[in-house]
Amino acid sequence: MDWFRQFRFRLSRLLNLPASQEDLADEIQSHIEIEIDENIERGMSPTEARRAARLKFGSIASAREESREAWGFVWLETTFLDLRYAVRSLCQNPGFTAVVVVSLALGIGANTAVFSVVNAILLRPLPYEDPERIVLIQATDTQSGQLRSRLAADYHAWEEENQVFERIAYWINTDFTVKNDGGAQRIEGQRVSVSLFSVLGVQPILGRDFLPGDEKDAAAPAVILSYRLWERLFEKDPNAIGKNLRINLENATVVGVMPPGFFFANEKALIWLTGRPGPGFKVRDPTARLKPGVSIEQAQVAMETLAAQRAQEYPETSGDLGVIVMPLHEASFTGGPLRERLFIFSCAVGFVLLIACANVAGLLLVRSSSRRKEMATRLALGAGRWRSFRVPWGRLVRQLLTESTLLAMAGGALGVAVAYGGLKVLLAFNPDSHQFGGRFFPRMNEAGIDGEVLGYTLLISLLTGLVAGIAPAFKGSKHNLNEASRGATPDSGQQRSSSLLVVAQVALALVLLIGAGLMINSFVRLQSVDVGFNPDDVLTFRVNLRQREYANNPEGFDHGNYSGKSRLTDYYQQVLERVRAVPGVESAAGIVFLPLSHWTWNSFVGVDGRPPMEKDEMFVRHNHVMGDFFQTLGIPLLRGRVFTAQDSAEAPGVVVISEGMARRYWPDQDPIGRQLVLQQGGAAAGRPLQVVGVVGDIHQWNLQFEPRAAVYVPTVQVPGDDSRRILRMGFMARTSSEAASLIPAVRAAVAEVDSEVPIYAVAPMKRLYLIWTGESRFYMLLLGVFAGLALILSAIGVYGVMAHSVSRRTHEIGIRMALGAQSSEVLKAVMRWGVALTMIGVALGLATTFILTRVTGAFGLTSADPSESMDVLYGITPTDPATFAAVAIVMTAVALLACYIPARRATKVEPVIALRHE
Amino acid sequence: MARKHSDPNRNDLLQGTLDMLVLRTLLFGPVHGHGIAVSIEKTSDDVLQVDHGSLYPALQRLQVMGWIEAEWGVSENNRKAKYYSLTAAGKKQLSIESSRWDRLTEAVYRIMRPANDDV
Repeated sequence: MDWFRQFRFRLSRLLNLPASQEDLADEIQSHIEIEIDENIERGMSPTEARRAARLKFGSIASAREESREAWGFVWLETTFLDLRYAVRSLCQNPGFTAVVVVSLALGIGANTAVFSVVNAILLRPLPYEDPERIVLIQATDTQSGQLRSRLAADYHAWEEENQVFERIAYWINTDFTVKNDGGAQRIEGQRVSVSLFSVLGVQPILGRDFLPGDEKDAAAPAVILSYRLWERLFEKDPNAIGKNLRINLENATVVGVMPPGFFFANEKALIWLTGRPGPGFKVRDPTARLKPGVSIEQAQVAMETLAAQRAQEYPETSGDLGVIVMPLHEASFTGGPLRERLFIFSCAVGFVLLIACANVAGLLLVRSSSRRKEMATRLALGAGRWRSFRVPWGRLVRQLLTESTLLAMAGGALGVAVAYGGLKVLLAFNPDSHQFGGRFFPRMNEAGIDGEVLGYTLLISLLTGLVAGIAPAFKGSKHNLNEASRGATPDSGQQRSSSLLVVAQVALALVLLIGAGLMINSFVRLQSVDVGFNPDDVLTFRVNLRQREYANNPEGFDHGNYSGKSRLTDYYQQVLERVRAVPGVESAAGIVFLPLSHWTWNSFVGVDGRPPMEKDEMFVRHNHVMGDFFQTLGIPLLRGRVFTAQDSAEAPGVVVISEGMARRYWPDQDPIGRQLVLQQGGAAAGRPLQVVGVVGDIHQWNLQFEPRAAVYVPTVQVPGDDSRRILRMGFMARTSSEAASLIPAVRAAVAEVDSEVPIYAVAPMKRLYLIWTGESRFYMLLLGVFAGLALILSAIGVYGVMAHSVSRRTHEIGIRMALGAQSSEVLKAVMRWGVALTMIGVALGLATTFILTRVTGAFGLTSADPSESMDVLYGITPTDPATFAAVAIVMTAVALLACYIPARRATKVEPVIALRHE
Repeated sequence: MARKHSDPNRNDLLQGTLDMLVLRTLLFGPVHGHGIAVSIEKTSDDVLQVDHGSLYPALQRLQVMGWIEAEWGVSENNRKAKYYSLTAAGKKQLSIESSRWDRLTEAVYRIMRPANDDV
C-alpha cells in the first residue's frame, strides 16, 4: 500500500477542507437528483419521487460524517473546530482569559527561567572532551577527613606510579601583572602544568598547546591567552603568536589562544602560564583524565593503595595522607555542591506552577459551572457521539481540554517573555564567589532561552494545560440538560473540587512564603551582623608587588629567594602617606589580608615560654598591619596601646591581640606585657613578641563565622626571610564623604608612587559585604519572587472561587435578606466557608513545611561540607517560630481579604434583584 | 454497510463486500455514485440492496487507498455527477479480493453442501 499517496490524498483533503466538504455535498445532491429523475421516469409524482429518493438515500448527515471519517483526519479536523470554538469562547470572556493566561505565564515563565539556569549549571555537560573521564584528585587528612593542600612531591610520586590516569595536571588560580603599551594591569589567570589542556581535551584555536619544554624555559615563559584577552590586547591579530608580553617582570612569549568561552575553574582567568610546582610547594585539586575503561571506583582504590605506600615511605610529611578521586562535575567550581540547592529551588518554582495550575483549575471549574447550560445543550444535541472516547461526554471533554491547553499555550508563549526578563534579573544577581575570582554559580551566565529551554517550556505548557484542565473538563462535561435547564445548582462534587483546590493553593503558597520568610529573616540578620568595626565610609584597595623589582618571584612555582623587605615596606609607607594626603581621607592603614576577605594566616601560638602546639583548634588568625589600622576601622582599644612609630624593625617585637585571644590564653589576667611566639605551618618559631594591647574582635573571615582569636603584628617587624608574606597589601582609607567618590583620587595617589604597580579591588568596604550576603540575597530574591507570585495566585484563586460561590448563592442571600437577615449575618454565613478553607490550608501548609524542614534540613540549605560553603540560613533555625507565625498571619490575612471582597458584595445585594436572579 | 430490509429475499451485504462490488462495477469503465448503486442492485437481480448513503463512505475509503479516482462529469440525463474509475492499483486489488472471495465461497459451500444433502 502506498502510504505516502494515501497521506497526500488525506492531506490535500484536509487542506481544502471546506472545498472538499462542498464537493461531497454536491455529489450527494446530484445522486439524489438522479434518483428523483429515475423515480419520475418510473411514473411517480415529483413529490413522491423526492420522498422516495430521500428515503432510499438514508441520512445525508451521517453519510457525510462517515465519508469524512474515511479520510482519517477527522481528529485533526475536530481539533481545528475545537480550537476555533475555544478561541471564540475565550474571547467572549476576556477578563477570565487574561487572568488565567497571566497566571500561567507567571508560573511557566518562572519555571522556564529557573530551568535555563539549572540547565546551564548542572544539566549541560562540562565543555571539555569526554568530561565524565575528568576527575579531581583531592588529598585529605586521614585523621579528620578534611581536604588538605598537599606537598607537590606526593603528587609527583603518584604521577609516575599510577596506572589509572592518562595524565595529571596541576593548576592554581593566581593573578599576573601584564604590561603592554597601555600600562600595567592585573589580570586573573592560572599557573598550570603543560598537561592541563590535554587533560581537558581542549586545544588552542590559534598557535599551540604547552609543550613539555615550556615549563623549564625560565628565560621566555610560554603563555596562552584566552580569546577575550587576545581580543583585548591584540585585537584578534593572528600574528600575536610569537609576540612578547611582559608578565610579572618576565618576557613571556604568546604561544596560543584558547577558543572563545573556554575556562577552567575560574571564569575570570584569562591567561595561562606554565610551570611545575617544586616538590615542597603545596598544591590542591590536581585534575586528571582517567584511562579509557577505568571507573572512578577503580581509580579510587588504586590511588588509596598509592597513598598508603606514600604514607609508609614518608611518615613525617605524608603520614596522614588520604585521597579522594572525585568526578569533575562534583567539584565546587563546577557547581557540584550547588546541585541540592538548585534542586530545592527547582522544587520551589515547581510549587509556583502547581499553584498556578490549581488556580486555573479552580477558575475553569467555576467557569464550567456557569457554562453548564451550554454544555448540557451540546450534550443533548449529540456532542457525545464521538467514537474515540467511549463515554457519552467524551466530545465535551475534548472540547474543554482543548480550551485549557490553548490557555496553557498562550500562557507558555507569554511565559517565555517573563522568563526572558526573569533570567536577566537572575543573572544580574549571580553573586560573586568568595573563592578566587569567579561567580557563585559557575556557568550561569551561559544560561539563555535556547532550543532546549523552549522545548522545556512547551512540555510544561502542555502538561500544565492537561493538569489544570483535566478535572474541570470531566466535571464540566457531565451536565444533565434536564437539571441544568431547571437552574439546579451544580453537584456538590464540583464544590468539593473547588474547595480542595483552594486548600491546596493556600497550603503550597504557605510553604513558599515560609521559605521566603526564612530567607528574608536570615538576610536581615546577616546584613546587620556586628563585624566588630565600622565599615561605613571606608575605601579599600589592594596592591601586588610580586612583579616589581621590590621582590622578584613568580608565586609558588619554583619560587626563589625573597629579598628587599625594607623596599617593600618603604613602598607601602609611601602609599600610605600619599593616600593620607588625598583630600577627604581622614586616616589610612594597611593590612595584608583585609577583614571579611576570606583570607588570613592561621598560626599556632605558644604563650609565656610554652612552645606552640600544633592542634587545629589552637590556630589564631595572624595578620600584619601598618598605619592607623585600629583607628581607621574603628576597632575599640580595650587595654594597653596600639602600634606607634617606635615599633620599628629594630625595636623589640610587639603584638596586639584580640579580646578573644586574651580570653583564651589569659582568662581573668592582664595580658599586657605577656610574651607569645607565632609559628605558621612548618616554619621555624619566630622571636618572642610582647603583647602591648588588646582590641575588640572583628570578623576577619566572613560575615557568618564568629570571630576567632587574632593577633596583629606590625608589617615592619616581619622577619626579612619571611618577606614573601607581605608581597601583597590591602589598604583602607577612612573618608569624610562617600567612599566611592574618592576612588579616582586614591588611584592617582598610588600611581604617583610607582605607576607600574597595578592597584585593584578598589571599592568601598561595604562591597565586601556583597560577597557574603550575595548568596543569601540571591536566594531571598528567588524565594521572595516565588512566594510573592504564590501569594498573588492563591489570592486570585480564593477570590475566584468565593466570588463564584457568592453569585451562586445570590438567590439564597436575597431570600435571607428579604426575611430580615442582617447584612452582618449574611457576611458571616458567606465568609464561614472561605475562612474554614483558609484555615485548613494554612494548617496543612504549616505542617507540610515543618515536615519538609525536618526531612531536608532547612530546605536542604544547610550545607553538608562546612569547610567550603556555609548554611544558607544565618542566625535562625529552619523552624523559626516567629517566621512561621508571621507568615501564617500574612497568608491568612490575604486569603481572608480575598474572601471578604466578594462576601461584602453579597451583602449589598438588593433583595428584589437577588430574588429575580436566575 | 447495508441497511436491514424487511424483505427476507433481499440480503445485507457482507462486511467488506461492498468495496469489492464497487471495484467490480467499475471494471468496465467510469460510473457515478448513483450508477454504482443501481448497477449492483440490478446485476444481483435486486437481491443485494445498497444503502445509498453508505456508498459514499466506501467511495471515500477506496479513494484514500488509491484504488479509485474521481472526476466530475455529466450524466446521461444531463446531471452533473462525479464519475469514479479504477486505478491500476485498484485493478490489482480487485483480483486479490475476487480470489479471496472465491476461496471463501468455496469453503462455505463445502461446509453447507453436505448439510443440504441431508435434508
